[in-house]
Amino acid sequence: MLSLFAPPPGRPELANGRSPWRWRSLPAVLAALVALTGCPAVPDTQQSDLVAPVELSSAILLRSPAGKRIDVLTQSGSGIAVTQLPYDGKPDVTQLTPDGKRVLWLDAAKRKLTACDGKATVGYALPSEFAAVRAGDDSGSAVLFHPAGGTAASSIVNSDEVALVDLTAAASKTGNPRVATVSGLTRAPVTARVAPPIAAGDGKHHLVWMEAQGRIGLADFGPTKVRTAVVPLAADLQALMLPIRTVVRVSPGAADLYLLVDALNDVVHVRVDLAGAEMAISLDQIAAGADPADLHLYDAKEGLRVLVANLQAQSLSVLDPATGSGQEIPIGGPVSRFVPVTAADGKARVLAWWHLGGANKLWIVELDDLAKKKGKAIRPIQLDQPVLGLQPVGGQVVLEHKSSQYGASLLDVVTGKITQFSGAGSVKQVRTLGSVGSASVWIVGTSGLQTRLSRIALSDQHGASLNMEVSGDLLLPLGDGVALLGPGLAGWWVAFFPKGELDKTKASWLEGFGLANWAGR
Amino acid sequence: MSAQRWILTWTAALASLCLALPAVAADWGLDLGTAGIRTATTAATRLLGGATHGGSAVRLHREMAPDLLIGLEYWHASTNSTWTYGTETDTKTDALTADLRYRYRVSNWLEPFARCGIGAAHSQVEVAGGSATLRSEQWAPLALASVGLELLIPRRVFARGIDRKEGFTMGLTWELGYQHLFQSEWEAKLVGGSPSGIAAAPVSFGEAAISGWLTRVAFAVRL
Repeated sequence: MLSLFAPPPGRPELANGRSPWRWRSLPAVLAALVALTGCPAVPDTQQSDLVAPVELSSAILLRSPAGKRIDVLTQSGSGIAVTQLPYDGKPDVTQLTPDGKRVLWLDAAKRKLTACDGKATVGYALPSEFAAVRAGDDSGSAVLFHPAGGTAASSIVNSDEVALVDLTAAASKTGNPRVATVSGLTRAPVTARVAPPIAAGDGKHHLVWMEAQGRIGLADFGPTKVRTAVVPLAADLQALMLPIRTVVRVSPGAADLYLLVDALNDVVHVRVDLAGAEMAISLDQIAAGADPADLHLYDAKEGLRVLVANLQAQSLSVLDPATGSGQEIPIGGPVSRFVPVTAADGKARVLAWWHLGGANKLWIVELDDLAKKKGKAIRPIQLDQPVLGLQPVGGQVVLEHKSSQYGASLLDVVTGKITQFSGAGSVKQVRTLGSVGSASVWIVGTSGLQTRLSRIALSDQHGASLNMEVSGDLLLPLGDGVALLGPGLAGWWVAFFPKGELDKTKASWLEGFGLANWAGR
Repeated sequence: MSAQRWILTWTAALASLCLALPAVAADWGLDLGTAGIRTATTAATRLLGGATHGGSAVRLHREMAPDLLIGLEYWHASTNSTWTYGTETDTKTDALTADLRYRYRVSNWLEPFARCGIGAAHSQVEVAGGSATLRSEQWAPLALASVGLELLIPRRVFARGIDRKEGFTMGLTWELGYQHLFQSEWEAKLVGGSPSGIAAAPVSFGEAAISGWLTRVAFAVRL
């Protein structure tokens, strides 16, 4: 009989005629079956959304949640270098310091603030679940607070609490961040800010103020102790009053806050004297006009003046905080923002405009002449297209229109002359990049299905354009050049134009860098 | 001589040797089956987007001494998966291996064996997303060592009752081992260049070797 399990030559069969190898081969057969049915591992699939880039003064940061890292783009020669920094957070708030050197990421649930300067990240453990952060005007500090409407995910928080982080120092469990409880504030602040450092007799102070409905909370972080106070605003209207704009001026041992408050036609001046053993606080109100929207402090020959834009009254007010007196100048149009402009003639000017878009009129205010010439020191500028953005460069102001007819205009604040630029396509973004003297206007537009990138040199007002068959979205400065970003493979693609030149032959293209070192990480 | 040429020359030399050697016992064999690796490193898993990389394998061998066989194997493997950012990755490997295999005839149906080999592999990783594709490829030397079992129908079945050791038979072969590809950094370039004609900079996926535990299952024909 034919047997598949016959013993090899020379090996006897058992007496019953069955092979002893039959049973010994079973494990091998089973193993073969296991190998045939072995299941592969499920691939590691990760999806993520495009995260908005962070523009630092020296780098562009792109947070990669999937990669648990930050891709740092810097200029290297005439190209781009990509490095990575580890970061495993999902920040609720992103905030840039005013000098553009650091970005702050606040992860409320993890109670962690991370500062990144493009070279390293510094983590600060927070004692409470702060839901908002604001960088200080000096860029060296930041204030954390519990904002009105903020919801703590995992704890109950005291909204009177505020924390100050020294961004120039390492994190410390005892000294950085420092926490204060402003007892009596009782209402969650809308915002909180920290003034530039104030030199007093006992050393450097940081004054934090919290703007809440009807009151201002103050926390003075001195060298050795923290003092707090609450300043009620006008008692009769407290329930309606909410600070909307604040400007701070510091002097040795003191700080002056100038506030505009919703539902109050006054400028509120709060002076905080830190020199004594106790904080000395004084409050006075200076009448402005109907519905003030913005204020600008400037030093006139006669002393400090406050320029106020009165929205409803369509006027500007010039106030003397020392005497509480002032004058109102009608201008015949709404103004919501002031933009300081410094021209080569050295005269102080501000551009007054309706910053919420749609207005095609703005005003050049000659601050030095305002006291004498009054309304004659305010020149109206009429434009063909609504102004959607202003970017002052030296004595010129680039006006952003986002129109298919004119993408941008150039306003000379000394002469009032306007130069319009057309041919940029349907404008998506206008940016003025570079320093005074070598600045240029960059415009991202669309022309058909193409992206049209245009550059206008402000020195000779010469323009050039480049059509690209991709969808470019963002213009960012990088090193001495300009980077255009758009959605691409694994994140953003970057087209980098070194030295601010719109030259295709010198440019470099980077795509897929979100996958850089993906395997080897 | 470039590394690529060196690998090709060496592999061709081995292949020639394999086929040109005089047949001692005139025992030829052909294996047709599947082979795959389970990655041994995290870097390889990340590169592939998964832990396995497999495909078809064809192996031809010839007996050069009693129970010592010299063989040549071609392996084609591919892996498709979704990477981070929702990108699709497609990894392909083509490898040619020259090997020596020693078998031990336990019975006329069961032959355990051990095999070791060297060769060359060409791997290509393509990552596509949106309208762009990054491609990285590299040649690398390859080495493998494995043990296996061959389950054969006794040859006398096909010899019409004549009890003989040689001749035609067929069966299944199953093999386990480790295969290493000496790969290094994966530098990827944009396929077709940038859409705007601007010079595109390469992107490095990092260092990874598509190496790991090898499994091969094949239908075996023996002459």
